[in-house]
Amino acid sequence: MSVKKAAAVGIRWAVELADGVQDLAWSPDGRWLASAAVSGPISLIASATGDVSREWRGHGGGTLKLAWSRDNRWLASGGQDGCARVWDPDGGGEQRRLAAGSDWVGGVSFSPYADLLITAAGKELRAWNLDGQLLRATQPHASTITDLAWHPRQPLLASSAFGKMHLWDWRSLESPEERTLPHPSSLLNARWSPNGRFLACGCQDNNLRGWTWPDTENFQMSGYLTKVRVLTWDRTSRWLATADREIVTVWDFAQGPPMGKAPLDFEGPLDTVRDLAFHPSRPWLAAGDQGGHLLVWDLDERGYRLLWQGTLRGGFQRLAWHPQERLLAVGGEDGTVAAFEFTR
Amino acid sequence: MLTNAADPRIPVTVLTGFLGAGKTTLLNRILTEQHGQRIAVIENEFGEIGIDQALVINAEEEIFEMNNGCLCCTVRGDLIRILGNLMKRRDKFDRILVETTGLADPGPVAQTFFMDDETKDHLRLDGIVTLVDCKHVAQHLEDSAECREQIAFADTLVLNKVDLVDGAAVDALETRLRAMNGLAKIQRAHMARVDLGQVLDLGGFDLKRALDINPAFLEPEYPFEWGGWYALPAGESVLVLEDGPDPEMSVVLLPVSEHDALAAAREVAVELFAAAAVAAQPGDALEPGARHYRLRLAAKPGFKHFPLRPNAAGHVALFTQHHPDEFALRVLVPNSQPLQPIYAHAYNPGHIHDDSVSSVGLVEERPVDPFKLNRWLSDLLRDKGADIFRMKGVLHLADSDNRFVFQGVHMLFDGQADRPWHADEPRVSQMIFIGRHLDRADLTTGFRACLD
Repeated sequence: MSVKKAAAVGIRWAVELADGVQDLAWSPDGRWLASAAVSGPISLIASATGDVSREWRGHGGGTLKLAWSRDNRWLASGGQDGCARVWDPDGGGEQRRLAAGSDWVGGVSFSPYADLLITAAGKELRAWNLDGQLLRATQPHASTITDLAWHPRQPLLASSAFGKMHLWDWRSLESPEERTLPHPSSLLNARWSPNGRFLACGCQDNNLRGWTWPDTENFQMSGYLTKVRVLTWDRTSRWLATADREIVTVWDFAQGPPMGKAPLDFEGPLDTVRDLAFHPSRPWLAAGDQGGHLLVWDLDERGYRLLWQGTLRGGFQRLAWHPQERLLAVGGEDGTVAAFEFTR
Repeated sequence: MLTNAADPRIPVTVLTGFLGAGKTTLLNRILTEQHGQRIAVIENEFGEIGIDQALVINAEEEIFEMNNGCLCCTVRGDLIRILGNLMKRRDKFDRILVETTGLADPGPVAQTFFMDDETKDHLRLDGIVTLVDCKHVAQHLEDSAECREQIAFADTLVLNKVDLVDGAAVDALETRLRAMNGLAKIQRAHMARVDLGQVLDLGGFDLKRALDINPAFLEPEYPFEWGGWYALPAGESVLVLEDGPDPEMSVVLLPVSEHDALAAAREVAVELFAAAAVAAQPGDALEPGARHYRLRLAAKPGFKHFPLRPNAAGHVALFTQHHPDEFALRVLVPNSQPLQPIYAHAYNPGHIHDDSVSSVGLVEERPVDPFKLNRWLSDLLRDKGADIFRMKGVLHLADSDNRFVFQGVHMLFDGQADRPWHADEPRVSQMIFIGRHLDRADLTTGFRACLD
């Protein structure tokens, strides 16, 4: 690992895990970083020291997704074995094994409003209580569910799929109300703006699409060279950063969806971008690519500037900012997990 | 490990074929044979792999459109997800095998490797292998568009279960499949036992191979399948036919001089075949000359005799709409002995029985202008892409010392610079199209307009 322009940035810790990183998730209290390897193993790393405190075998065939409960008590994982698992970070190991479906479990998400875990396996959503009881299975979607996203202020869960965004109103736990928003494209991901006014999706057909909320006017931004794989909103809901291949494009939503307006294109020595992440409280945008370049920009009213640039042998897979600190966790293709501390 | 040095992407082999054709048997064979390659397998939901193999992933085919409503741009969404995940552990294997369900249209599978940028960046479609159940394929060809497309898309056709049908039937099947797909290597197999070199690493496209197996491939199409040049003796010779696949057949008989014979008569025959026909019932006389006869074969069961008049000795050229073997057609001289033609030639017919699926090959020596080619292909595929299943080529580009290789599926195509031309290698451009209702003259004109 090497660091350039690193005057204000240091490596707090770095660990080498067994296999390439598939997903990273900070516990809401910032105490743990959970890392899932593409071949299955799940590791819990202590944020302060970098000690790997727990190592679990994870899912047969591979682990796909991690999610923490709001109260930090549980870590959920979804995998290629058709199961979701619930883990106890304080030494209890695997607590629950949930039969989420016959397909890959690509989505796991705890409700911010109730003790409820949602799993997405193939075309089906299932809702579980924390005792592992199945509360409800939804009607199958028309195609595989690609992402889950809770509205930041309402008990609304968005699930994206080909041709449709489904919105589930979980005020009634037993039978959520469903609303579908049609879109003639494969929606790859779903991201609510932090103010809850916009729901944005990257699409397979090289467009960024979405809806305003609650009036559900749809918007579309074109000009991408490839499918839009990653999206991230900044804390203020003004900036939406996206990436297609090696170009990071940032849209300004200050006046609503910026259709027809030019975005900011961030130039940089970037290879295919693997992940983007806005810091939870600062206007810092991090981008990691498959060639191992990491760039962090600082955005403000006047524009943007490069804050820091680093590299990682083997290429990046995932980036995750610590929920409170100025600490950026990165996960690499070769199994490296590291935390960069921004002291300035 | 066998790899294509010019292309670092991981090769993917797609295995198609109707249920019962032997896909799983072949898959198990590939996985157990000692070839030194580590293979990741994506099998369809009904697959049963009997090998304890670390990387076997089950897929449920999920097809979706990439662009609004364009049926040609469909992809396999499940494959995009699975391949994307496999790419994160690409140090674990050297090759990927994708097995499709029996009824799969190979289009969306192949298109996935052209349409999805993430897949395209890391993987290349090495080849499509189609297993054919020799015993049942004739029925499937009649009933199923998917079966015809599986044949048309193939780089290799494995004629499996040859032990269940007689040799002549396999020969006839092979002829029929070659007429549909002039590009594919054809392997005969019992219990899916094939040379793995013919199944894996198909990357190179070689038009010479297509020409070796189907000499009529590059020729223009003719309205007749066969022509023969006879020296008739004095006295009454007779054209004799038996029952064949068609109740009628067109023939043209032309008097020829001893020197130009068949080739000179051919163009006249093409014109005559386009002209109105004169009906001939069994027993009617046929006169060599400017006449297109339509033989009414169904009028009489069994042998049908057509006397050739006048009874003078001389050279004639006979052109027949179908191959003579299909009707046991022969010329008998006055003592009833069969007369062998001095020279005969099988022509590339303008029609194919199998839903008009055919192949067209083009060869040009002058260098190709890449901009003109790009424009031509874009226009062609926009208009005809639905009917063009596959397209492959090795091109001699102006201002380049490297071969340029490309391939396409329906409306999509993708090419890249390949190795340099060898010093002793003729620099020629070769292209092949496999599809429905292909117009050779149009394709030839279009391609020639792209020459520098």
